[in-house]
Amino acid sequence: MASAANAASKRIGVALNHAARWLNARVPQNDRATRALLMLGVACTTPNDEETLDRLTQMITPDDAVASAFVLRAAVRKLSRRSRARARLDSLLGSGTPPPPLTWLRALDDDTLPYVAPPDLVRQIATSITLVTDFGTRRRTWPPALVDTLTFWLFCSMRDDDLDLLCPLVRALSFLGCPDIDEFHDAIAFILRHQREDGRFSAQELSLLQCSRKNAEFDLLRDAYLPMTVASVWTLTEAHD
Amino acid sequence: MTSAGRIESAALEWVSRRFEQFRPTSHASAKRIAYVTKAAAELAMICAVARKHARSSALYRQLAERVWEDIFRVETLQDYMLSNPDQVPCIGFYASLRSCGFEDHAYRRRLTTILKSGYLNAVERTPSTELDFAYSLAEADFVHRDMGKIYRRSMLGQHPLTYALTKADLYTITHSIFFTTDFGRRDPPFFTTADRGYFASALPRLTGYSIRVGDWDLGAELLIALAAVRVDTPVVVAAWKMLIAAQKDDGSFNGPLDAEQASESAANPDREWVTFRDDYHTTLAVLLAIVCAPPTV
Repeated sequence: MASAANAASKRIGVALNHAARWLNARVPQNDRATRALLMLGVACTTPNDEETLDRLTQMITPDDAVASAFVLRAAVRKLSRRSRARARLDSLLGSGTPPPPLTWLRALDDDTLPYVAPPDLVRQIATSITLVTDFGTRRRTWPPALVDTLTFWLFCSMRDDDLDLLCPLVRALSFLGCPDIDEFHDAIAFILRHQREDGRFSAQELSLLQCSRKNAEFDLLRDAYLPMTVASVWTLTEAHD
Repeated sequence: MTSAGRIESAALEWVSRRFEQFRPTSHASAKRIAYVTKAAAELAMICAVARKHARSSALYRQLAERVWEDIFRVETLQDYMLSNPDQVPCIGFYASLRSCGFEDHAYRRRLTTILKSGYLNAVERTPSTELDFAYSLAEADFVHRDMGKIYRRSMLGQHPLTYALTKADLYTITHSIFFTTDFGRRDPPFFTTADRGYFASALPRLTGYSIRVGDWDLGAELLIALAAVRVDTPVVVAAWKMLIAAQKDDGSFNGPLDAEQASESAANPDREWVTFRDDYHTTLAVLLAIVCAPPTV
């Protein structure tokens, strides 16, 4: 078991290094919004490099979307509370802000929830788990149905080849401390399978191509490859930890 | 009346009102005739399974009588089936009606001749289709085949990775379970512990997925499969709640259409045919689920 875990960890490390090269090669070429996302990817692939993280957090302004800083926070959470990067991010995110109300918890009592929840609600649930657990550092008691429900959605995401929805679900399970579930391991393997030769991550390439042909506004790098790569490296970083 | 009784009555009445569409000879196009012959055979099969499961509604018996008199006994249809024995369910259709208590000696003699010719044995089939063939032969009291050996070569017998399974694969799996278990009436001795482990882990997930995407057709078939292999799971109750809620006012259930099919259906002016073509199978699948695995909600 230990050697299998080591092998998986090694595969994740290789994938992250490969993705880091793809991300770094694109940092200087893009507008601020895109750059913020790229930085997050870089941060996830270099989680212990305090100097890089410090530099990256300096580049983030409150206008760069809280979501972006939020991702970076995940990468630096193991750094000392006294580090400048950590302090800057705490300030950006509003340290001490109470976690969001878990209005969806009551819905878990409905046994049809797993089968009727739209993707937006699935994503909202995964995100609020991230916030409430403070990226997995804060424990609390959850209804037993929660893990089963998240695991079922993970299964659906894999069947739908939906990397975009799968990533927050894997992270939520990781923050809940449930990495020893078959579907969790399958999901990590699923993410790794979606890394391309050049290091980026993507899924449903044919649909993306059709979308970019139909819609001139759609930018493959900005609207697909970059978000999916960042989501994947963040998720793998959490699993790697 | 229970939920099961209500949805069953409404669905059976829909089938009864649409009976004319089930008659192959009422259609002109060759493609439709083949499609409708299969539909009529499926209707006969449901009547046969309902009889085996001692389902009480008299409508099954009435439908079986109509299928026998108005469809199966029509000579031109019999000629058509026996001239295309591998294209239409000529054995299964006959076997189902025989299970309902009907017998056509002349048809049986002609079928026996075709079987003796060796043609049907020589036809190349996938293992799941072979299970269907073997089941039909056994039901019609022709030669019995070793279902266990065929099952082991089937997709289900290989325990495939569930994430990658296509809709066609899922039908292959449900049908393999239907025929090996006789729709849940038999617990085959050739199912291994590994088979049962696979059923218990894969089928609930696939059922949940099917109802999540609104595929009532596969959802119903998987409910039958779960009951047939004796897997008890919470998804059954949730799936039935959703299936019951999905029944349309006229008693039918929407068939699973992709965007392209839905657009073709919306543009097709032959509404009677489109409604039948798109929804009959799902309505029959839900009826079969009520017969084999009735809901408790």
